[in-house]
Amino acid sequence: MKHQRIQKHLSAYFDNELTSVLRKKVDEHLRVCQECTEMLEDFKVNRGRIAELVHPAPSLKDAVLAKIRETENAPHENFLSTLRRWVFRPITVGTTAFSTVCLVVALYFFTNTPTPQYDELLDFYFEVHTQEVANNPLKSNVATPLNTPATDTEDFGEGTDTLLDLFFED
Amino acid sequence: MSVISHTLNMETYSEIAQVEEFDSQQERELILRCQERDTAAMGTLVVQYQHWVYNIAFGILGHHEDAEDAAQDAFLSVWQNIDNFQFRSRFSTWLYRIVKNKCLNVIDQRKRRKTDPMEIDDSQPWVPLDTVTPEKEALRTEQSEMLHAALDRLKESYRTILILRELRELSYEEIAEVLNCTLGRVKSRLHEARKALRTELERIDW
Repeated sequence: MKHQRIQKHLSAYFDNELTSVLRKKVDEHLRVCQECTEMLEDFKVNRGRIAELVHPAPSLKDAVLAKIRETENAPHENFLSTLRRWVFRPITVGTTAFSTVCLVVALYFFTNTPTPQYDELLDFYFEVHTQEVANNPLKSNVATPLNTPATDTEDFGEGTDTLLDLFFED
Repeated sequence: MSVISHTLNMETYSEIAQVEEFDSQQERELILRCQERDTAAMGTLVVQYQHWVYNIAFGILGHHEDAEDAAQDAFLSVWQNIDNFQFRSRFSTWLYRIVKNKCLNVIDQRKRRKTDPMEIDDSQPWVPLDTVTPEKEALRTEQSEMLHAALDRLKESYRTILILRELRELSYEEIAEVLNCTLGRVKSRLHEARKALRTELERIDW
């Protein structure tokens, strides 16, 4: 393994985080490489230096508990500030604007679409159908009196189709 | 090392021992009590973790007051979000992640403070953040100042990983959890960070 590739593993070697195979290779390399040996030694020294940076911590308990009490005792203000923060977020503003536009468009189309007068149309359709049945007994199962006068069924049929088409178009 | 700093370090080590003695079952009970909004339990957690929380913040920020503020904010955040802690990870790693995020917030605020012309107060001479008062000066050794200066020149991500590993001695797995990255990333970043610190210390001829 080349010098550069071995050097990349030096830190993990130092922390004992290498597999036994890789560790053995680094061990072998360290026997012949002065640069890597020095680097490893510096890692060790710097660890000791950083470990000495520990400072006695100030007592945080009273300050933290005071802050907790402060936030707990002001729930209304806290709620308002949280709400304000959420409301004025770009994503909230964007989503609200988009939803409003969608709602307005939907309302516009809903209120301007003419609703068909189904009752009137159905009455008309049933009236026409009743006449058709009366005039064309063969098209229905309803018994028709024999003295019913014959009519021009073809003309009436075409007319009915047209009216039905109009009904379905509506 | 001066007598003062040696004494302080001895106190610090006694505090470390106290933290290590903290039983995981006790910790679990305290967290459950915190989830039931027991402030006394929160106070105990603060006492147990304040040392490392403060030192990690100080290691990353290099400034005592900022570190104290970040540590307080971190504990407050713990209290506000303790219901979200589901015991899927160690409490300490969850806490350190919050500390790291609070420190990043402070760093962002510093950057804004430096770039926002409205925030610059021309009436006072500019004082670098790392400058310490004469009283605090006595508490610092020359070596720790040099080391902090070197750490300050590193990238924030390098500084954080070095503090978590060398100061707090977290495992690679724990660091990956705190930094929310892969083990491979931890290995490579830690190596780069150590090399960068070595270069910085060589540059100041230490």
